[in-house]
Amino acid sequence: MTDYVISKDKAPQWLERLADKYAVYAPDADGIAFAPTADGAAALAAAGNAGNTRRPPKELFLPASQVLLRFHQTEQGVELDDAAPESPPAERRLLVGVRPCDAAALTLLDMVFSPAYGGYDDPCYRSARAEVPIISLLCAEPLEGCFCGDAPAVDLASPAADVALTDLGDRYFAQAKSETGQELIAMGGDLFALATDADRAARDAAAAALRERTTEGLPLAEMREKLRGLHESPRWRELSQKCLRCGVCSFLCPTCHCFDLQDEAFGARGYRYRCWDTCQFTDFTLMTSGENPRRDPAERLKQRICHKLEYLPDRTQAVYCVGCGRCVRLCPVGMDIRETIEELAGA
Amino acid sequence: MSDLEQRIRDEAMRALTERGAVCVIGFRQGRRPWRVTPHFATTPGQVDQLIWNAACAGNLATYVIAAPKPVAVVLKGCDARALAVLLQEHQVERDQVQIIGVPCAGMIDLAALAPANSATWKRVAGLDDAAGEVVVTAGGKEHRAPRERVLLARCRTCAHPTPALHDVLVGEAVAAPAVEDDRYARVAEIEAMDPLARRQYWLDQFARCIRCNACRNICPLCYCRECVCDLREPRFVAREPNAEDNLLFQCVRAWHAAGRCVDCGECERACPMAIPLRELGRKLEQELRDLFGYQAGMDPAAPPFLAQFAAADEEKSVAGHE
Amino acid sequence: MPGVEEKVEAGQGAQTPAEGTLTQPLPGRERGTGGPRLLAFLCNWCSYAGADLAGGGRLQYPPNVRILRVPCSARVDPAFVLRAFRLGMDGVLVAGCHPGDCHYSEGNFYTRRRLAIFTPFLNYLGVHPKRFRLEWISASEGRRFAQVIREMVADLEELQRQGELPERNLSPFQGEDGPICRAG
Repeated sequence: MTDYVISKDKAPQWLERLADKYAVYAPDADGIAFAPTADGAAALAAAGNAGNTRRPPKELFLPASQVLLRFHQTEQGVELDDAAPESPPAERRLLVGVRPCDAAALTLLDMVFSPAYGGYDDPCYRSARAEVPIISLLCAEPLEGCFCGDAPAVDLASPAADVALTDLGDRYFAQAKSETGQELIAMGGDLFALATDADRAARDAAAAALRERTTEGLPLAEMREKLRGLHESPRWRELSQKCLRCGVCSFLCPTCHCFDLQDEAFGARGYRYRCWDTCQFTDFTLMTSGENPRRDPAERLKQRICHKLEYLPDRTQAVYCVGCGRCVRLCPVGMDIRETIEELAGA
Repeated sequence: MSDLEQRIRDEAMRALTERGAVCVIGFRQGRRPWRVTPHFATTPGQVDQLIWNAACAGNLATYVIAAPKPVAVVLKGCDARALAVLLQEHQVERDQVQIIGVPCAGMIDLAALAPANSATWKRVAGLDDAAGEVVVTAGGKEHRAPRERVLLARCRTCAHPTPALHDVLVGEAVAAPAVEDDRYARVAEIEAMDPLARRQYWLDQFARCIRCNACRNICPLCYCRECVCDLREPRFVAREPNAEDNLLFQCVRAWHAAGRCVDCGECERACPMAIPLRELGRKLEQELRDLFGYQAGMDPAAPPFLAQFAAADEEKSVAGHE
Repeated sequence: MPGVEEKVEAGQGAQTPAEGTLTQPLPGRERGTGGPRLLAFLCNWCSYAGADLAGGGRLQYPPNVRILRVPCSARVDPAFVLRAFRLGMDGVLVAGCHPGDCHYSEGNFYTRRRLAIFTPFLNYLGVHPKRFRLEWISASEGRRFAQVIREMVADLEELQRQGELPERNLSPFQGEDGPICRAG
């Protein structure tokens, strides 16, 4: 794939051309979530030093809550109003300003929701995700808690996006990483110039600088083997003692994807939805008999860590933590997955 | 190391070695200077990790019910009032908990020092408090701020900084912070809106709730093993995060905490979406105070307020026709 | 609540055009009139009996009320009232025995204290004061019961005319597809 540069004063024109074809989503002004924007370039500029958004972009493809079907009761029984989870969203979306961690996380979610890795072909995820180009932007500064440099899934020099942008001061380095990316660049026509070796070196330097500041030497890939021998360890109990069993870490994690299916009914009408769920909730594995295989918080912490660092890597060869730092920053009691990993690595 | 910190360690050691506690709940350092995290010391060797600084905002009373007993726990003024409520409700017996009381000059709002999404924190090397000031060492320089300027909002209106309930107090009692914020100003502002606007205000606040339950789970008083809002049969609140059901969940929680909530503010601190949760229960607290002169958590021996009644209640009744 | 026959229509398009108090039916409201819906928690021993008396005596009161019989007014956790409003009820009445006459001796004393604090909280949430009432209605007060219902429904109809009742929001029935909660 080819490398380009676009000067910052031409970037707004490119974003405008993209906006003709796509509904452009970018980090909102407060850095909380991805939202539709009328001015992609401004949003990109504002994203600047902000790091990743508080809410991960996964919510555009796996929403916090999503209606799957509606039904109503008739004399004959229950009938569906409509069941069209596969209908594509009304708009063609494009995401710009996605951080390398979140871009990598989307590829990890793509694997989970596809049959190729033993996953289920999820029509809702597929229809929301299909043909949504991702334009990533390297962070100028890591946030407190970020450790993407340690995450095997995250390539800071060449993030997993369709177009990977790096801010080089007066211009953006733009690497087209896919055919879609190449088309997006083509939509900019002569706004882009081919990147020079000097541009590439600057991009590499930016990526290396970020990597250096987000590397803590955490053995994320090695945990897969290490965890196999720790399932019976008493460490889990100590590590989980202060956990609140809330959903902050999982809901805001860009690779966590568990969901619940529930029905709501009002009189003769109802709907079925799915919403985010978390293995950290006490009732996650509660069965109707009252039996709960993971009643102990130690069991639930073990589940989360092993799922991300052992079971999913066994299945997909990828490590399901991208070092985005959200769980570290937002855990109300200061659970720190970096500490957890170090503690277990040394166990 | 401050005096308070040393005394906390001394008392924790005594609790484990002389007073029969099997566990001491306090705080220890996290991976960064300003990060503190709960610590469960069960052996004398683990006592050294206990720290105390202006970032120790957490309410450790929330761990008392599930902790192995007898337990010693480090509590500030607000925390101790929450524990008083637990004692009122017989969730823990007085002789099973040893309270290491810490007079608190107020905890700092880390977000006020630097915005939550700021990269500044990466450069912070130290966080100390000296008399009346908070000192942040960042990028090789010391930045000082008067403590009142960076206090958590909840600390600004604190009336009980020194734990009245304690077995040992590790410092001199402190006066409440000299900040004149009106505790109920926000209630008045919200009440000035007309009803539909008020309703929309609440729906807007709770539209961004993701139902992570951090607020509920961190609350020392939300100790029901099975929360009514988690029930499926019968279902009370939708599981999904929509504004109406989110609001219902929060209102049910605020109501169930009425007369019990001590406004320790942990719910608001825990919320990842920065929702002003304390504003909801503040009204109930105001009514209790104005109508009945009652304040939660002041007397561990008092029967719970809403589990009693009095003849004088007649004067406060809202019944249309008596 | 389980076991309760509450025929709440989650209506949209299921209503017939109004005849009666309003010229335009409002979506989701009383079938037939489009008028406001009132939910009444009545204690079995006093208020429910009083309602029975009203019915037996053919005393007229509007059909907008749905009755839930509870053993005692103290059975009403104010959370039920919150849920009733969430489900789109326009008004809620809690009625019990007169203090001192509770069948269980002291139940309504708890109710009285509880609702003294809860009622201002309800207002604080944006529920108009006329939408919630606590009344003591004894078994012999059939006439009072009918009068209370008439008053409440009249108040609610007035609020409805002035546009002060919120629209019902049973999310997916508002007609939009897609995620229910907004980001940010």
